[in-house]
Amino acid sequence: MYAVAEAGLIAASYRDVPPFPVVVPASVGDAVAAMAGEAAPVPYAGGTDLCGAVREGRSIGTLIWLRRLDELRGLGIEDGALSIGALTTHAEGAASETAGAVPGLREAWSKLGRMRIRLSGTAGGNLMARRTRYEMSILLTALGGTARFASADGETGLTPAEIWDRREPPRSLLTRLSIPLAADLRLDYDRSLRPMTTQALALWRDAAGRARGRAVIATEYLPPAALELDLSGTDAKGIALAAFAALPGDFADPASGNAWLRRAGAALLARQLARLGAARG
Amino acid sequence: MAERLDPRFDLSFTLNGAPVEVATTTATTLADLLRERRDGRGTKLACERAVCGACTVLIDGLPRAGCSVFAFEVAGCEVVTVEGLATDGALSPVQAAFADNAAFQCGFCTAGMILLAEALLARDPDPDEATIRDWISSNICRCTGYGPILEAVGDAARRRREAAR
Repeated sequence: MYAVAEAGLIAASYRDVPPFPVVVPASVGDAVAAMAGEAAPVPYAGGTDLCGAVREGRSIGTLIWLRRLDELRGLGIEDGALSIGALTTHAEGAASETAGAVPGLREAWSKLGRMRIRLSGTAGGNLMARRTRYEMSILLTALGGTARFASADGETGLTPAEIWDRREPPRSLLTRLSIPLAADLRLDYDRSLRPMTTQALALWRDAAGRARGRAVIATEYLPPAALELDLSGTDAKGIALAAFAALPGDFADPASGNAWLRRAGAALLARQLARLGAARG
Repeated sequence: MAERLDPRFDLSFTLNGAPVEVATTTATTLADLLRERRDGRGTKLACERAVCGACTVLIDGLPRAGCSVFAFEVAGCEVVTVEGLATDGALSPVQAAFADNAAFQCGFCTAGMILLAEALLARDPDPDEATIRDWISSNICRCTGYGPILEAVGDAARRRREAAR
């Protein structure tokens, strides 16, 4: 059987993983210390991804089991931002009244995964799995959010794009997501063309009161691309076409070509702008 | 103070109402432990990456993919598998509804579907069709087209409500 596996004819199995030590931190401080001090630490919480990752070649030195860290669970408003604990499940987030601070976020969050996964999968795990078909990165990018990492050297905030580039500090632990609550911030999320393309739109007003907007497009195989909108016009189609003219020419995958993504993305964006009342559809 | 679990350890949990103590390893998944150490072949393995749901079990009432849960996670928990649903040989209302509605063909997904339905009805005894669809879409069936499964879950909800009167 292993000869067959080595020939690449079947996937690696999690059964090939030798038993590993497990650390169960009692606090975030414990968890950060374990990340700093244990051999090849792998943080683990919701349990919806790791076995799949192991089949794709991820190894486990020491498993840092976070599931009991209630301080990493739940939502709150802190310093003008919506703070989402990394261990908050999708079901908890979608049901949270606090998440209602960003209109549209609860509805968008309720679309991530199916119920069995939503009950266990976490906001942080969704982000850190770095799977292009996962969606927290799309929402967080649209909303201008950051992910906060704790390490022995202190706390660091990273954008989702920086996470895709694996720029988190070595041996750090994602603790929470932070979304700045700009004036009139609201979100629309369109999955009607998924898996070909998926698109989020966030609108808000800046400190000078100007209308601002950001569309984020992703596909099954591509991490999100953000497009800043010029909202000086009132025609949704015109705004959308202008935005997608700036989509990078190499943003394409084997299922969705660049020209198609520009057309489909602009059509979706025009509908989204109309739904949020930012322009005439 | 962080706890530390050795790679080989003794695991205690409750399986279908009975206490279990078993020596295992940290790398062992719950599905493998159930199938290979507890003769629990009702927990099926298919995708082995938490997508298809054939291996769904209930852990403290929560539906989880047994293929992607390490056995150490259930220490002290109540685990329910399809083998634990019938009482004195009588099928549970959900099992009976699946049988009466022919909500299976090959049957490989059935145990997971039934446990998913049990978890839904424990939370919502009178789910509407959209809720049933939302939950059942968690698991994959490649035979039935889902129609009979959706009907069976609705039927099971009615049976459970009538039994509770």
